[in-house]
Amino acid sequence: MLTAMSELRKGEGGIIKSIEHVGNMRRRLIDIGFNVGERVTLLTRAPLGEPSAFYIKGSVIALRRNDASLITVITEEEDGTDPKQRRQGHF
Amino acid sequence: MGLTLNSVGKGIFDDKITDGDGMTVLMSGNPNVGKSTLFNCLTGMHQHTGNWTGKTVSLASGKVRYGDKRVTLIDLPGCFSLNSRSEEERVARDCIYFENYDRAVVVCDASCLSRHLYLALQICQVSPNTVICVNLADEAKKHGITVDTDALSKRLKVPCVLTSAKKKSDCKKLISLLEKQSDALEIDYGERIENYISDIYSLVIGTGILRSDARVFALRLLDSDEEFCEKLKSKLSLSDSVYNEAKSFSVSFLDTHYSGSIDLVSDEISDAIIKSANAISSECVTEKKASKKALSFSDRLLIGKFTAFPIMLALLFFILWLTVKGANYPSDMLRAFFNELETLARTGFNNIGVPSLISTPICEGIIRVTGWVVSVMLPPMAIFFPMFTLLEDIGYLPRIAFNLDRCFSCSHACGKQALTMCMGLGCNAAGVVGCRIIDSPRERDIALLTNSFMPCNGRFPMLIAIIGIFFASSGGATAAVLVGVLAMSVAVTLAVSYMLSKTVLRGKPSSFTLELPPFRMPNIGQVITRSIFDRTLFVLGRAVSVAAPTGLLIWLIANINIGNVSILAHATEILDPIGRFIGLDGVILLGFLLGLPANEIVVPVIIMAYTSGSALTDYASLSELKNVFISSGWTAMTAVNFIIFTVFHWPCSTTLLTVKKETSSIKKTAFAFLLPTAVGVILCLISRVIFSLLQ
Repeated sequence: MLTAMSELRKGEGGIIKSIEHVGNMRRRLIDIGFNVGERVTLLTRAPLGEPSAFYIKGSVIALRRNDASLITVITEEEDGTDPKQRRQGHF
Repeated sequence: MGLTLNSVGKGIFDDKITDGDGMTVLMSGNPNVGKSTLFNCLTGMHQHTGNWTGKTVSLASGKVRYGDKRVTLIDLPGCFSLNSRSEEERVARDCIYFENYDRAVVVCDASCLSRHLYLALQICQVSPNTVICVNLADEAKKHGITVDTDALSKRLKVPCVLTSAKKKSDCKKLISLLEKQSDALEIDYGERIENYISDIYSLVIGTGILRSDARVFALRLLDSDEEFCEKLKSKLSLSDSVYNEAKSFSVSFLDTHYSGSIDLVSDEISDAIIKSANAISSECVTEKKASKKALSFSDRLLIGKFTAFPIMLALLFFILWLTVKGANYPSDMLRAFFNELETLARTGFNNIGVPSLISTPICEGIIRVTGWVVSVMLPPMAIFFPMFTLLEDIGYLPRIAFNLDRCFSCSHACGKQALTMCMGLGCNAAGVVGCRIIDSPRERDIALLTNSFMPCNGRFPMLIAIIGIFFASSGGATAAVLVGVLAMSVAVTLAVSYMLSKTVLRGKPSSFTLELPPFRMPNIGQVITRSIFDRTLFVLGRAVSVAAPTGLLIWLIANINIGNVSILAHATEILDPIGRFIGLDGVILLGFLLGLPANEIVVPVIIMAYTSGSALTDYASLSELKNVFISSGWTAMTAVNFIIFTVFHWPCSTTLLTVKKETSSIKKTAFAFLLPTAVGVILCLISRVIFSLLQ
């Protein structure tokens, strides 16, 4: 199912569906490996809750919540939980 | 950029490529693939290495002999792509496009080749005679990844080599490949863009342009970067009419097929390159194990929810404790040595009949002040710099930025500011240059203006000395107070960043990415020699070259009288009301003013001023120094305010010049001077009020 990359759970992965960033940041993200169709995994969140560290194409990249929320991913499991609930569950 | 001869010295103002005869080779690649390590291995130079993205922000060049050939190597700052518009990647991009060079080496990481091939493919299209160097082969092997460079070479039709930068033999292999020649690569961008490229080619073909150059030109036009295209135009010597025709053709192409969206067309171009990179890497790379997608044990500790901050504080405390403790003994030895030297010089001068008019200023001015600077500054630096370099090489600095990012986000600043602050701990000038890693101009200015809030290595020993004299009896206590001082620096930096974001540098935090590199075992021997020879001795040299003449000057003004009172007394008298107002005194203020070229001399100037004309001229140990301060009217408040003012006052002249260079704005430079001064004055006043309430 579709979800914002920022809403992934710790250790959860997904395939990048679309990137809504524009201009320089869009390019930067594409340049460092956030490509549509690529697999991304949320490794951990920083001690203060933000940013999150993502595993993408062999490297670990940290993004703030706002930036990560503009990337949509497809997660494999179709458990039907509401992303909002998940987020509350995590924090 | 690390702290090197070039980054803290006059080389900081020099970005030009030095032209040599023989072959010129550019070394490019993603950040953090070991370009600098490879560069050092090839040239034997001490280009500073570090394990974090954005470490090298300007060019370094070195020479290497190969047979009878001379090769000039140029180490470019890391970049992820040639299409980026960020300031950080501009230097590398412009070099690839516009510099005259014979070969371009693209350094790739064997463990994630497809990501690195993205840049390699771009460079191969722009410059013929590219050599691909697949580095970090040893690291990849550990993860069960092997790269078939023969297949890669065949596929790309460019020479490729597998290296582990720490191995000398691999470097030789790379050099020998520079002999080979190859053509520029062509990537298939799909029918629509390929047709467009052919159309542009037929427009410019009359100028005798190379096919590969025409392709590059056509693709670049779609990017609509006016300034860049103008540069490309003059490089390819295109006439105005041809250039304008091609430009309007590309604009109409963009409008017709992509409704004018640069994002859309650049997506299509990147997609083609990514697909091709992925295909090539899947042909040439074999992975035995599935790639690891979990945090390493050390990362779980260093950025873990409950362990990150305790470990950070403990590490900081440990480093400072080791610095304080370890510096004590050599400091005492050096002080004894310089006392001895002063006595020897005095007797020597007496014996050969030099009049005391000359010998006294030399002994009491030059030797004493220089002696202070060396004995108090050298040992802590020689311990702190290697420790700091070690943390840098292991890859801890980006983790600090990761842990602290939330605070910067609340201050509307960039998380990478934490990295520039770490650099500032070494040297503020280097910290200011390091601010280039921040993309957003607003956030870069914030980082740049607040960088001097981090006490640099020139100020650390001062803090250690004063804390040791007044507040702490043991090394551990001194280190604990120092941790507190640093925490105050960070807190003030965050607060001021927030205030700047709300006033003169208004704006929302911008987007950024922070790479957390894998941990790497540093080469300890190299770390120590490099940090001692390049950083410590250099910074010390700068301090001494300022200390010696200032020592003479201060002795002269302390001993030349105008109307029965020395010039020094006159000067301190003028400054005294201002000094007293902020809980210091005229002498301290004068010390900081004279310390503008190098903060290291502030304390010796103050001591010299206090002791001139009094009986207290001999201070063999720090405890005797305490008497000097106390008999000059220091109280606990003076000491506290001295510490505050040491951390928050005008940056040294090198830092100011660097700010001027980085911002090319007199206004911002003036602001960089006034901001910390104002903060220092306000904090000193607050502390004065608190002390008066306590009494």
